[in-house]
Amino acid sequence: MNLPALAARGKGRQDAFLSREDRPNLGSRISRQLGAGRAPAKVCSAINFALQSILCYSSGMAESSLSRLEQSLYRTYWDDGLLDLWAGLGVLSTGVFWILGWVTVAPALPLLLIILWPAARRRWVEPRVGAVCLSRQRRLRERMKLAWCLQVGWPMLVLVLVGCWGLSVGRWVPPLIMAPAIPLVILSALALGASLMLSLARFSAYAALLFLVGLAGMALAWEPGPLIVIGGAMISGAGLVRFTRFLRLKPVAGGEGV
Amino acid sequence: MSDGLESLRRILAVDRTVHEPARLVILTLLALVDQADFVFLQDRTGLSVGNLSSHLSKLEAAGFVNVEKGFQGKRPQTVLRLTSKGREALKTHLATLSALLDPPQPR
Repeated sequence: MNLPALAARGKGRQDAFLSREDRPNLGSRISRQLGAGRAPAKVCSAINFALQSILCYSSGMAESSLSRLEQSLYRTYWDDGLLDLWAGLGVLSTGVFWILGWVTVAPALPLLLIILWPAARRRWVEPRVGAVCLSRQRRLRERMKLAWCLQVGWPMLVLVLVGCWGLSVGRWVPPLIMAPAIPLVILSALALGASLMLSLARFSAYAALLFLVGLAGMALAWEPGPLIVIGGAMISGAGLVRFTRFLRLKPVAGGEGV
Repeated sequence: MSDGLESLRRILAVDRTVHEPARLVILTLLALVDQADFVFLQDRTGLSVGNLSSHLSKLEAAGFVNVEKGFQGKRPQTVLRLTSKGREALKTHLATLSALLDPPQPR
């Protein structure tokens, strides 16, 4: 298999979308061609992952107008505001549990919200704007983005925490002052990851908001719990505004005629 | 005949099932996803229920769209999927339009 030819074929405007036969296991086939099949499993996996990333991003989808349409279609998938509301409630509940002293139980409600997400979308969103199954290429891209976020995000988060610790050990900042900011930094990193994965700029704004709330808490020497509640309330508020506007502008669809 | 005029003449031979604006939009939307339901298409196209139904019937008759009727809970749901024939027809049509807008340069 000629990799440049494959990428060039994908770049053509008429071939903006790879056929069903081409999409799966392209990276595996190419890594076998490159002789990576004889390498250890982790190396094969890494090569496969990298090649699939390159193929997806060089397949011409970024260049064709159809790909721009698909990108904007994907962004509008999240326009209803339900995700913002769900995320805000998750952060808010974490703060409330923290204040009540139930820190270990804090992840319970966010996990429950994640489990209830599909049902909530089917109940409130799909009757108004319909249901769609995104293209296999889009789902593959999102899975790879998630994998990249996890592989890159955790080391960066550790670096930030080590940096915070270093600042406290170097006596530039007293250790206890750093404490309120740490949960907010983690939540901010999660929001930033969501923004990158979903291509939603407003989640970057939420990430910045949580970070700033953390810094403010650090300066005012507040406990983390109230800071998380403040951040969660702001995000929930923004989500609620967006969601109620969606419910108002998009009535439940009438009967189907087909 | 020059390539530009040849491209222009090819427009006369386009598949009118695909070329109709509403149906072109429907096919394009379905090409961007794996499958979508009737309400999704209605929301994105802005067409009325009757109008959308009529166009989908024509596309189904031409073999461009696959229609599956079922239920989502108690709510009836019609799921639509672009067939490979429909995908090819759309590709050909877009290529024809593209050749008109960006004709090959004469040698």
